[in-house]
Amino acid sequence: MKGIHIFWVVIVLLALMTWGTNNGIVTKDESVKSEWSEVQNQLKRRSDLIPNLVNTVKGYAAHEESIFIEVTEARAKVAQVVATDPAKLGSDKVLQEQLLKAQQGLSSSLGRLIAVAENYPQLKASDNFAKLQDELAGTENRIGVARGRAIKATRAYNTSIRAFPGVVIASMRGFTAREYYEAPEGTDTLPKVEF
Amino acid sequence: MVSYMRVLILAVILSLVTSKSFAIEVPALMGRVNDYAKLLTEAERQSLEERLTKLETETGAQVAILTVPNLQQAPIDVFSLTVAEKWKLGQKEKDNGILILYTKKEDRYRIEVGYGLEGAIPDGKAGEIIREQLRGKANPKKGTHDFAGAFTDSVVEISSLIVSEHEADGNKSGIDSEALAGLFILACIIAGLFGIFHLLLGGCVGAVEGLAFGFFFFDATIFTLFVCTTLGFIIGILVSSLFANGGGGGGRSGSDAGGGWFFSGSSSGDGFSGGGGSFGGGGAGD
Repeated sequence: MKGIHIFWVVIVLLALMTWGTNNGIVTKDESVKSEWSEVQNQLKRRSDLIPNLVNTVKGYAAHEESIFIEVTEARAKVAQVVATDPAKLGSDKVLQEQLLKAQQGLSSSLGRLIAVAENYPQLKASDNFAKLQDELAGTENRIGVARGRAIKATRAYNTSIRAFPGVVIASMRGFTAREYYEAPEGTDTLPKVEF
Repeated sequence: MVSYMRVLILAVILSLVTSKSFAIEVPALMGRVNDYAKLLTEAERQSLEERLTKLETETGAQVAILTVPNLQQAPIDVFSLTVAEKWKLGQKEKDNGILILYTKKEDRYRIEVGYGLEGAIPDGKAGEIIREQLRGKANPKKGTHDFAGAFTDSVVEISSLIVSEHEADGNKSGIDSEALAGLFILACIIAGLFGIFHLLLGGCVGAVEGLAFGFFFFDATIFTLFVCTTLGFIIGILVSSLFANGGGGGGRSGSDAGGGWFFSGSSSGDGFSGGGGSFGGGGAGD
């Protein structure tokens, strides 16, 4: 085979590889964005559920003012962190940490609200309350799952732009690694509620 | 509730330790009813399998039951999601899978709902099903142990919710993709038969059939009807040319519109596998 033919074959192969690698990186990048977007969706969903829960409890335990205020403030805090810059969430480590901490604050407040509600047998027995708890628990679960997937997607993306041949394409196209926040184990304990 | 606190703690754990898998050994998918905790008789298992197969035939939803002797030290939510994802219950595009899990040692239920069914069965409803249908009949803490009855009642309730949503979405319950394929072939043959006289006639018959298909089985928007009619015309002509060329008179004329044309439903139990559906963590447990 003539040298010139080999040359062209190599060029074509390189082009194909480049194309494939680039697409791989882009797909992973999009995946990270969509997973973080899902985290935000679930946070919003929980946020929407909370007024309903608070009102249901208020219906039976109107004078427990302090816990209602606490929950409302914690909820506002989470919304505030998310609103700062939703698009940056996927690559800003500090933002992710703030969000996680705000979320933990909200989760503990909600836990305390539920604990307060446990003192009111009629409320505890009400079907509506049980359903709200299910919804809330389900959403907490979803948030956890979504966050886990977002971090997994971030890792996959980061690997793809660091390994060869991705690293070449990435530097040419301007893809940079995305930071993510992972709390050290043990720094996330929630207050135990005794029954 | 204790379970709520568990989920709170779990949500935080899940959000941090993403690669930790709790080393769960996912039981093999044996069929729609996987009774590893040996709580059902063969007859009861078979009866549940039939119900679930029927549900899938009618709506495409893949609901599976799993009973295990214990959770292998994992939290129930993690266990349930791991199994559901491994088994890939539900159709890929629709994510219409559900896993009903019961663990004997911990005496806990969990219903894991796929993305696509979160509308039909929201978390509150899933919780209610556990409280009423499942715990109503099989609550070892309170002394009742009718697991067959519990699962049956819950499957009946879940089925009715899924079917209602399925029908509300404009699908005709009972016309699943296999029946549709059978009808399509029948339509082609009819068009082809007409086409023996004249290709264009076959095309026109095909167009009319396409219009009918579009109207009854898909949404009746102008665009869809136009596409279906055009496709029908083209397919009609193609089939007609085949018939015109292919040998002797009539070809396949045994076109009875009855059951013979519908592919028989997959024999219950064997070959059941997940359709690639995904889960987002929705559902409820106790």
